[in-house]
Formats: sequence, C-alpha cells, structure tokens
Amino acid sequence: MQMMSSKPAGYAVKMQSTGFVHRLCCGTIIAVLALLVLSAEKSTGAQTTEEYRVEAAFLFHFAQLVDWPPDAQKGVDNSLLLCTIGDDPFQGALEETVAGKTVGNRIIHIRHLGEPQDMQACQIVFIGKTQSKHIPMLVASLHNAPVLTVGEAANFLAAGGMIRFVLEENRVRFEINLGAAESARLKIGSRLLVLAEHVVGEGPGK
Amino acid sequence: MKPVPIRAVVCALVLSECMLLTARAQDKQTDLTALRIEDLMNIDVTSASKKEQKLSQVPAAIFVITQEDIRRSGATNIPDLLRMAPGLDVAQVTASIWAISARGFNGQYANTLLVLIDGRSVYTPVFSGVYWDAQAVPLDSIERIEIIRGPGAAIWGANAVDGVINIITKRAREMTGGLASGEGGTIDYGSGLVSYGGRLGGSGAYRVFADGLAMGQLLTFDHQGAQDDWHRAHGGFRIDTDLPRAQFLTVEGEGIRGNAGEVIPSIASISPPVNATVAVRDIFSEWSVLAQWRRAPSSRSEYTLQAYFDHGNRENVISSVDLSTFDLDFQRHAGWGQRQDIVWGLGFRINSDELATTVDTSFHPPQFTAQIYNAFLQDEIAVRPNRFYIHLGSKFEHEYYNGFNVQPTARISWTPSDKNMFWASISGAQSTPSQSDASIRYNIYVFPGPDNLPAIASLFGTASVANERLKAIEAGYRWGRSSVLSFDASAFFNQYRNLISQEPGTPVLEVSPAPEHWLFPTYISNRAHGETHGVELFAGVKLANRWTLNPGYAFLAMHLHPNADSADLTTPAEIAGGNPQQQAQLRSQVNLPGHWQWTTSAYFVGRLPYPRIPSYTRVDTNLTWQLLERISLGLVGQNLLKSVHPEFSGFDITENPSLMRRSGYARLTWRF
Repeated sequence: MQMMSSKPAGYAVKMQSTGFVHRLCCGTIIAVLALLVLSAEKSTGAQTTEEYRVEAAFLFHFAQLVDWPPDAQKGVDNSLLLCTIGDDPFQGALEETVAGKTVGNRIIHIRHLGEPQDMQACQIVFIGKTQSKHIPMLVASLHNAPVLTVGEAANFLAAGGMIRFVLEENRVRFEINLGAAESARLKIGSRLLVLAEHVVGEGPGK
Repeated sequence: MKPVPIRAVVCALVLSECMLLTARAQDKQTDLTALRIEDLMNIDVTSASKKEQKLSQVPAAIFVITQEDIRRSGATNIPDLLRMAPGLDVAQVTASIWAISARGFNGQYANTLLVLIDGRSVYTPVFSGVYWDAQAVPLDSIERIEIIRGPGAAIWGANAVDGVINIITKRAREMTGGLASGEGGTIDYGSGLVSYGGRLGGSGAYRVFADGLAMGQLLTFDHQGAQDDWHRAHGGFRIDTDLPRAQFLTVEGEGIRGNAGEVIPSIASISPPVNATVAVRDIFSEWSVLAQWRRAPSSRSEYTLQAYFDHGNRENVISSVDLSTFDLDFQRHAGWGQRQDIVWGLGFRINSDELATTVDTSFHPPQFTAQIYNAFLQDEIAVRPNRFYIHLGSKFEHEYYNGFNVQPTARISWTPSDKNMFWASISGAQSTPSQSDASIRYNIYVFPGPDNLPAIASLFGTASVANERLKAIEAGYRWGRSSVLSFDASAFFNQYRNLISQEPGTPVLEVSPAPEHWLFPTYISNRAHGETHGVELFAGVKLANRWTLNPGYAFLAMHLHPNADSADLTTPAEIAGGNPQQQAQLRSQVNLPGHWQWTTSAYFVGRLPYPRIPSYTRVDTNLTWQLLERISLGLVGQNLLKSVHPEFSGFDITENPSLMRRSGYARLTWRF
C-alpha cells in the first residue's frame, strides 16, 4: 500500500523557519554530550540497594496503617520512633526515605539500637537477618509491649514477629502474624491484611 | 522497505529474555513514601547493577521506556510515548493516524517494525500496517516498552526487519485497587479511565478496566477544520494466576469500538464524480483474547505456550476490511552444558480476511486465508563467561506467497570491564509481500486520455512479487554502570535489494466499467535497491539529585535506486523522501519539593525532503502534583513552540494530512 502514490501535490505549507530554535536545541545537546564524555570518568556509582529503600517506604506505610493503643505514645513528645536492632541493613536508606516524614501529627525519628531493652521505647522495630538467631529472645524481651516488630528472616513470624518482608520475583511483599500483633494490642489495618501474602495467627485466639 | 509481513512468530524469547532485563533502575531520587503501598509492591528491586548488566548484555540496539517515563511524559497515546526512543521516527499524519518506523522507510503503511502487545502482533496483514488509533492499552497499565532497532528476527525470535516494539503490560496483581482518572483540554475533549483489580483465590489476581476518549479535530494545511476528530470506547481484563510447580497462567482480553474522521482527497472513478474529495468516517471495532502458560522450573529452563485470537473490522462508506487472526506459539529455553543457552520455538498463524470492493480499490480474491509456519533457534555461547559471548540464530518460515525463507543472525558481545560493552552483528532479513502487494487494484487518478476518451491510472499487485531482502551490519557501544551517567551508541549499515517498485505497463482500452476508457496500469515489482546507514546516540545524566537529563540524537542516510531494468524512476526517491536525516531530543525530569514533578521534552525532527515538510521542534511539558496519597493532578502542554506545524505528508498517505496544534490539558487521577 506504500506504493499508492496518488495524492495531488501542492499542499501550500506556509511555515516559518524554526532554524534558530533547532540550532539552539542541537547546540545544547552537543554541549551536554561533550560534557558527558569529559566528565565520564569522574562519576562514582555508590548506591544503597533498591530493596531496602522500598522496605523503608513500606515501614512508613505500616506506621500509617497500624493503630497503636493510646498508652503507647507515653511521654514521647510527638515523635514516632522507628528503630533497628543490631546491624543496620538499610545503610542510610531509612534516614533518606522516611526520617522527618510525618504520620498524622507525629514526626518519624530513626534510632539504631544496640541493646534489646531499648526497644520498648520504639513504636516500630526492624530486626534484620543478622539477628535471626536472637529473634525469639528479642521478641520475648518486649513482653507484649505495643511495638510493631518487622523482620525479614525466614523464622521471623514463627518466632513471634509481626510483619515479615518476603521477596517474590524481585518484588517486596509481606506476611503478617496477626496473633502476635493482637497480643501487643496493635490493630493492623484491613488494607494491610488484604495486601499481605499470608496472614497467620488469625482468629479469636489472643 | 515495505510492510513487514504478517507472520506467525510471536516469540516468547522476547517475553522471557525481556523479563530478565528491566529498564533503568527506579530513579533513586523518587520519593518512595509518596507512592501507594500497592505501587511499592510492584517495584522491581533487582539491584540496579544487576538490571543494567542484563540490559547491557543484549547485543542489539535496545531502548526501554519505563512506567516512570510514561507517567512523567504526560503523553496520552502510545505513538507520543515512542518519540522518546532515539532512532524511531514518529510522525503524526492526522488526529488519529501516525507514521512510525525505525531506520527509514517511514510512511503510513510503511512498517518495518513488528509491534507486539503482550506477545500479540497488532499488524493488519492486508497492508501490514498498524492502526495506532485502535491500540488503546491504558498507559498506566504498561510496565515497559522495549524498542529494538535493527533486524531482530533471530535473537528476538520475532519477525522484525528494521525493529521490534514490544509493549508489556503489568501483571494483574500489580494493579490491585481502584483507579479513576479523567482529563480534558483544548484538543482532548474528555478522556477517562476506570479500573479495578483484586485478588483471585490464594495466588491469582484480576484487573478489569474501561476507558474512552474524544479528540477534537486538527487543522488542514490551509488552516480549516480537518474533520479528523475521533472517539473510542475500550474495555478489557487480565487474570494472572500462579500454579504449582513454577507454572504461571495469564488470560487477557480486550474490546474496542471507535470512529475517526478523515478527508480522502481523490477517489478515482471513471464515472462522475471523477477524483472526488470525500470526507468519510472510519468505524472500527476489534476484540481479542490471549492465553499464555509458562513454566519456569529454573532460571535456565522455561517453557511457554501462547495462543490468541483477534477479530477486527474497519469500514467507512467507501471501503471495508474484516480480519481474523489465530496464532499459536511454543517456546523452549534451556541451558546446554555450562556455557550454552538455547532458545527454540515453533509457531503457527492463520489469517483470514474479507475486503469489500470499493470505488477505487479491489482485491483479487476479496476473501483470503493464509497460513504461516515458522521455527526459530538461537544459541548463546559464553566463550568467556561475563566477558565474551557469541549469539547464533536463525528463523525459518514458510508463508503463502514465496514459500520457505531463512533469516540468520550472528552477534558478538565483548564486555572488557563492568563499565563498557561492545557488540556487533550481521543479519539477513526478509520482508514478505503484503496482501496488497500481491493482489490489489487501486485506481489512482482519472484524466483526459487519447482519442477523447477518459483515462484512469491504476496500480496492480503482482502475485509473483518477491521478498524484499536486507543484509544488515550493526555495532554498538554502551558505557556506564551508575545511575549518574550512562551512554549508548549504535551504528548500522543496511543493504536492501528486491525493494518494491511500480513498473508502468502498456495502456489498454477497458470497457468495464462504462464508459469505455484507457487504462494506464502500473505493476508492483521488485526492481529497486539501496543502502541506508546511520547512528543513534542516547545518554542519561543526573545533574543533581533531583534533576535528570536525557539527550539523544539520530542520523539516517538513505540511498535508494531503481535497478537498471526499472522504468520507475520516482518511487525510490519518494520512499526515502519521507524520512528526516537528523533527529535530536532532550528530556528533563525534575523532582520539586512538596510532591511536585516537572518533565519537559524537546524533540527536533529534521526536514523531510519529499513531500517537503519543514523541520520542527516539538516541546511537551508536564507538571504533576501529588496532592494527596491517592489524588494527583497533572497539567500538560503539548506542541508548545508553535501554534501549528505539519509532521508528515508522505507520498503513500491516502487522506489529507493535518497540522498539529498547540494544546493543553489537565488530568485528575484518583486511586482507591
């Protein structure tokens, strides 16, 4: 059909030259390309992994979609304390992504803890893979305090943790241990329950 | 090169291999907390270096448009998105018609590109053209668009002579929740989308959607209303479910109905009115269903089986096309030993169409059914793992007109360090005839003939028309690993022979239809040849944490010639005349404080020699404000630089072209 040359010729096209704009445009592009090549070797490629940046954003959503009992904000001005225990797998991604953000009227602060007894002051604690051996101990040390525990180790929910991140086809998903959350008087929003890959510990059992 | 034929292969290699490679990493500057939790669940968190490694290992000229690019662009249709790809030539003809090609041969019906939506070919085999107005995939459901320039048949397993456009939509589970968006503006009189998705059982998900648009008319070249306004309604669904033993099942379907106006400048008829100018309205409808089963027991082993059925209809007062396609493909990917990766596949397609005989066009026969069989085999050999690879592959096809053909490719890739990658390839590709090449009679023009009789010039398809043939040499270089700076260059040299020409025949007296008249026939033949060469450059540079720039440039030279035995001295020049020698672009993406994003794109397109279209620069801008977590507001300006400009008036178009107008619209999006 390309060969259907039939159109009467002679469409009067009254166009003004846009040559200046084009030259300007081309010039800019050439300049940028040159800049690129010249500055090429100077760049560095440091980056935190995408996975932890995304998980940090999830923690922000958890803070919004979980209800803490009224007494859980005891004493602490209007901050929401988001903590990690042990090695910090986020390596700056928490600070970069959520520090200073507000949830309701509360400002998120980040703490990296060394001692388990400090966890009770937090609203959310992230327990990394390196702590997998200590999870039962860490959870027990909270004594059902209203602290949302989030982790990533395979045994996290079984050991009494509340929300576990799982990687599925390179996407971050999560699982919820509803029983553990209820024991700590945390109310996990229905939106989270719908989105969770699995919800365990459901039902009347407290 | 003429229309890529309608062929059977839809290659899951495209799907599988491309699933591994993913676009550039999610922009690091993106404020992830501004995303909905459902969107967070969809972010591919494969580490950036791993993704780029995959992408950088593809020994072909590949470019990826991500969902992030789509969202930021403010584009309302797929053709406008494709302007982002350096080396693609996107020219709008009327409000609803686009001419799109890679590496030359652009025209309304010139399509050297294979276009796939989730593995479904969207060509119409009659002319092998893409009706872009009927490609209505909601832009928010596109995961990415991969554009491969150059002959991709063997490595991509698909039948592309000068390129592949591969549109991949998100899986249903990545689209859970509700979405309603509406927009309106100076040309866009009102468009909207409603979609809803949710879980289906333990491991499945669904999405249903409905959308529509109403676009106002553009201007004719003498600044009158172009009568090319158009409207469409569209709906569809997608279901994805995971089955035991690493099996995945996808079923999707869609239906569309619409109408689009156009003015046909000359309908050649021997009885009055001769050469009448007629405004017509195309009524189009199409529906399709596709099912895909995939089993991936390991990263080096995968089976894919896919089938689809598609039925489309398009008619106006003077013509009608009715087309059905059934396609079945199987593909196997398997490692062989430590160093070889083999992909092979088998495909079958059947096309059946019915074409009405009209005043100026007829097909012989008007009903037509064609079967196409194909197979392909590709072997990736790691000569030195992670450093040096050889890819050998070929496609084997049997189609209706010219029987059996072989299209081989050999590629090498060399990665001397993690920052650099060189590749080169040599390929042979063929374009089989379209139905119009073989069987059309098209009346071009009526004029006063000898002996006081009227005369009509007509073009005839030829059943013996041969495949157009391409030999292509390509090379490319990629630099950069970091998200701060990257650079991609490719160059090609293509040699074509058996290109379509139109050879004049001997005038004869024709008595039917009355009155008696002279017939001046021209016959489609293969008496042209030529070569094209060019380069394509693209870069990404992060000037600041919140500001990214993407410059791009493409150069194309086309030298097409009639063969010594050809009497058609104009067609080769006309085909070359519709392509700009130079194109350049600059895109800027800025994240502003307070959940504002501002994206501006400038596209320069060099002049078209014949029919002459002046060069132009198109500037689009999009300012988006994430008002609330669930509500965002966008303000878009398009074609900002000039109030009107023409983009295309190629010699093959059959309707009056329009002038593009400066326009703007506002869009409100609500997620629930």
